[in-house]
Amino acid sequence: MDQISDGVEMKNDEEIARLIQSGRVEFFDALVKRYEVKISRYARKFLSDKDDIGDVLQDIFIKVYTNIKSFDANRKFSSWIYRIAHNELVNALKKRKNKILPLIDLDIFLPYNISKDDFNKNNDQQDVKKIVEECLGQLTEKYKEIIILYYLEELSYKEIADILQIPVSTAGIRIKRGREMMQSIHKNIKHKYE
Amino acid sequence: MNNPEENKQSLSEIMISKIKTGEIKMKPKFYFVLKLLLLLLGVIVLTFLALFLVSFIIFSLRVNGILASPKAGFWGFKILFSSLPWVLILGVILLIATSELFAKHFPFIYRRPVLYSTLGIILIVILGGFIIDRTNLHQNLFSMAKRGELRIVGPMYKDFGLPKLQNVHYGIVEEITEDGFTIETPRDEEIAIIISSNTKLPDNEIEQGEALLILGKRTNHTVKAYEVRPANKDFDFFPDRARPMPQINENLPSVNQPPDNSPAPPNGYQLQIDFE
Repeated sequence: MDQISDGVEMKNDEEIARLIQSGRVEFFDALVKRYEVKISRYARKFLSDKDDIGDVLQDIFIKVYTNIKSFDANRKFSSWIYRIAHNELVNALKKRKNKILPLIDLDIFLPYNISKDDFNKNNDQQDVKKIVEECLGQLTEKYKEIIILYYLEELSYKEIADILQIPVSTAGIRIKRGREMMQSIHKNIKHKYE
Repeated sequence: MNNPEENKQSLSEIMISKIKTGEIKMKPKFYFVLKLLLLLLGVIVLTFLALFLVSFIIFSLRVNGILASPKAGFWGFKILFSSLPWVLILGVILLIATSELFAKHFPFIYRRPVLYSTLGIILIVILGGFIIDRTNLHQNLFSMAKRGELRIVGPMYKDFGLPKLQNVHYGIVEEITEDGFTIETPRDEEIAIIISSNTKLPDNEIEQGEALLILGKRTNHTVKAYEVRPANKDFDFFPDRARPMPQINENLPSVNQPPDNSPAPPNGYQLQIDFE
């Protein structure tokens, strides 16, 4: 097991996934350790109950293991695991909140121009994360998830598009709108405390 | 559970133990390949079904002469719109939407706006529909439906082949009258067609025995013709009779009793439909 631990540090996620696919299931432990914190942090933004988070987390990793042979090792493992996490969280939210999420979103129909993100440029990375954390509670589900993926999980537009299975330009426009909402929410919060 | 380190440890341990005891198992690659193939097959089958329906709609509108009615201007457009088979069109929309839902699982589809893939499918279906309409597929299926050889789609051909349309009338010229002519319809009715100076007439003179399509408002057994045009030659209005050939001399063949030596009708004249 120690030999595995030594070697696994040098390998990227995709290489580890390939090893698991070939039957080296002992490497799955490494993937769980790499992603447990990230996925747990991601799930915490949607679920508040610790037991719920624990259950969903376990379901996510069970899905990862059972479906690992569907993963294309030429693509990014992080997008794939976040996609599974997204689906599990959507299902969990449906069950817990008894809420039906919209099936069709008009955003995915039309092409959009992706604008450059000046939010990151004008603010320090830590400040951005702080602002995001402050505003998340007031954002709608539609923008909340994409803002988490972009600003907190630091994923690219393309990765987010793959996770949410939406056009890249839609990911861009939603981030832009979410950012505008955050700026307005942040302004109000600041105004309140001044 | 509260200590994150302990929690981290326990989750990976739980997972490994579940794997070792066989509680969770990897699904084989074959399962995912099959799933992907079924999805792809679903997209193809749904697109082909939509293609088939669109080509059938075009065929049905063309043989009934409705497809050409917009040439008559606003009135023609009104006829076209009121004659469109909306149930079939709704079916096509549902097929395209379902096909789009299936296709959305493929990265090259979902990475682009839905508008592009939807327009792509619509374009394929409409262009393909016109191409299929140019083949004899629907004419052959029509004949098979009449012979009772098509159990599933047969009724569709019978229902849409020659629908009862408002303001669209078919028939064979029986008699030329002072203010127009009379026709015998496939439903064995005799209708008087009134021609005015506003009536759009075909280039050739109207002759007895000719199959015509008349656009105009009907009152009882009289139609005030807005437009008169030769009926589609691919369509047989009187399937139980031999269709009269174009008149080339004085010895016109009778509509009801064709001469024994009359030439065999061309391919397209073999179409048969029920008029009940």
